[in-house]
Amino acid sequence: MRSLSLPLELVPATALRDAPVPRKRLEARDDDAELVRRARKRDRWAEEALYQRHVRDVLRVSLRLLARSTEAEDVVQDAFVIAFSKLDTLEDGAAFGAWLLRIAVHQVHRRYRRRRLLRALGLDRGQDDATLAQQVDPGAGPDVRAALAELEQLLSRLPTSQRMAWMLRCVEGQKLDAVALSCGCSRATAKRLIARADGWIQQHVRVAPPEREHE
Amino acid sequence: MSNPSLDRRQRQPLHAPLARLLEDPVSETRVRAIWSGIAARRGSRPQWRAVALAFAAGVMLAAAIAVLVRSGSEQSSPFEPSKALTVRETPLLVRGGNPVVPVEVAPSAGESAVELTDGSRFVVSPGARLEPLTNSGVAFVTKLLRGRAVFDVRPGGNRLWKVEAGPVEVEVVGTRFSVFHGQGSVRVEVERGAVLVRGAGVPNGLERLEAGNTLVVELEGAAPPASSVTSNLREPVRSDSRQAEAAPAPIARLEAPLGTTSNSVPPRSAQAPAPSKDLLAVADEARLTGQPERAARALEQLLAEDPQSPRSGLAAVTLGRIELELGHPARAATAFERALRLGVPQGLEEDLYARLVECHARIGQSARARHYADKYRARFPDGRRKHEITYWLDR
Repeated sequence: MRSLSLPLELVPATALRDAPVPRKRLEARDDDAELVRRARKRDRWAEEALYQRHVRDVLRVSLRLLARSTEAEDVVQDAFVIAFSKLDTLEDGAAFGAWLLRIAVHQVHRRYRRRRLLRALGLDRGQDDATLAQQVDPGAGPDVRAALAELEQLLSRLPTSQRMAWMLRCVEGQKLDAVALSCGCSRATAKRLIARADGWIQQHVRVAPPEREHE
Repeated sequence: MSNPSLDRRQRQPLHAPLARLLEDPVSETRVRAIWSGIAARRGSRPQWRAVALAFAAGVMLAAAIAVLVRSGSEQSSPFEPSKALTVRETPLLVRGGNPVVPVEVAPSAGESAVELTDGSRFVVSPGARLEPLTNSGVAFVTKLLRGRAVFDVRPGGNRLWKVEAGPVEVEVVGTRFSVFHGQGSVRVEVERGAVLVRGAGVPNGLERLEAGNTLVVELEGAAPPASSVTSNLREPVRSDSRQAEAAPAPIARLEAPLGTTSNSVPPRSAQAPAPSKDLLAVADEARLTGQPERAARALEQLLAEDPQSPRSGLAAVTLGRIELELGHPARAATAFERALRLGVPQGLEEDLYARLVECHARIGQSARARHYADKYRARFPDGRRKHEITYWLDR
């Protein structure tokens, strides 16, 4: 058996069928940068590889934030369509994942605004089908289920920015810098948003904070 | 009457990140559906450049059709269809003119080789079943329900070749490779050329394998493909040797070219001394036929006889998985640790560390479990199994 490192080498589908394959070996560390470079040239395989690599994170975050599977899927589609159409504006290809997540979170924000408007008009007919309590692991005890259901209620009463920052930090376990990047704010603002949300939540549900980050 | 605020105080606190308490909501079906949506949306937003290109392509296509029609009308009757157009629609046939039909080989029979009209061929190993799903001028898609098959695809063809094995898809143009759909795993091994493997369990969802590369995809929670799988194709499924011997028409016709191939092999005897490659095959066959203990013995024999073999690492991983499935976490841990020493493909390392944590947690060696958990977190800080690791440590 030759190299067992399974190098990821991607080629356009058309090249696979019709022409000699352009040789470019991808290393794990620069995968995203290289894939972005190729995706800018409309390399469909590179686009799909980027999609396969990041879709799970984006979908998971969107689902947790929106609690509606259909809307979350729409957000993921929007995020990738926007990202692929604006790849030229991305300076550092290696930061594709964080950039994509920021686009997705922005789209989630827009959905929230739209939902609020529809609700005010009495037109919001969407059903929350992916709440924290609905996604809880089957092995979790009734205490955990009850706490998560209560947490969901508390989160729904928070301002969108606080809710999203807190969820990214305390549900998804993102680091402060990543939360700031996703929310499009400074680290200090992200910290403040999380602290405010946490102050409200801790009055009702005990949530042990994630490990402190070293400055 | 219970006091809710008191209840809350008595509750254990939830520990962030809360994601570890939640199920992973992402399914492969959903991932594929979203990608289809993205592709459709991107395709429906042509920019001016794309429109211009499409216009130019349309003009060229119209010109080509005009030339084709004209040459066709000069050479043949106007009532005959153009040969140039019908050739592309022709499905692949078995050499000799028979259609491609499902191939099933009884465990006690020899390999079955099928040669196709485009020069491609595939060899189905004993105990395997292969069904064609799509066979047209542009695509040839087969499904390997179980067992091993080797594909030798003629390079340069226009057809898209695809082999499906459970949730794993292998896409290929011109190459020689084998796919083994076993109990709990799919193994793709490329001898020549390159293939693209995609699907659930594939690292990053998509991998390109080149000659010499092997990819083992573990099928999470998969039951062994039952021999009674119903088929919507032309022939009923036959699963035992007596039925296979009595198989009429299509299956028998497919086996007919066997004599024409040089690498047809007789059925293997389990007692016969076998080199490492054969021992792996014996282990695969044993797993496939629901004999995990026999598979474990074959792998142990391989590791004892040929520890320096390049396949030893993979053999140790497989042995560990079997032991774990058999409920022997201590033995599994020993096998996995051995696999680590021997070296395994990079794509398997994450799984290996995660399983080591599980094994040691199960046998109560929390220090060892923590040791491998630390290694996992250091090597895969954003690993997909980090929540699983936490679960086993907490347990």
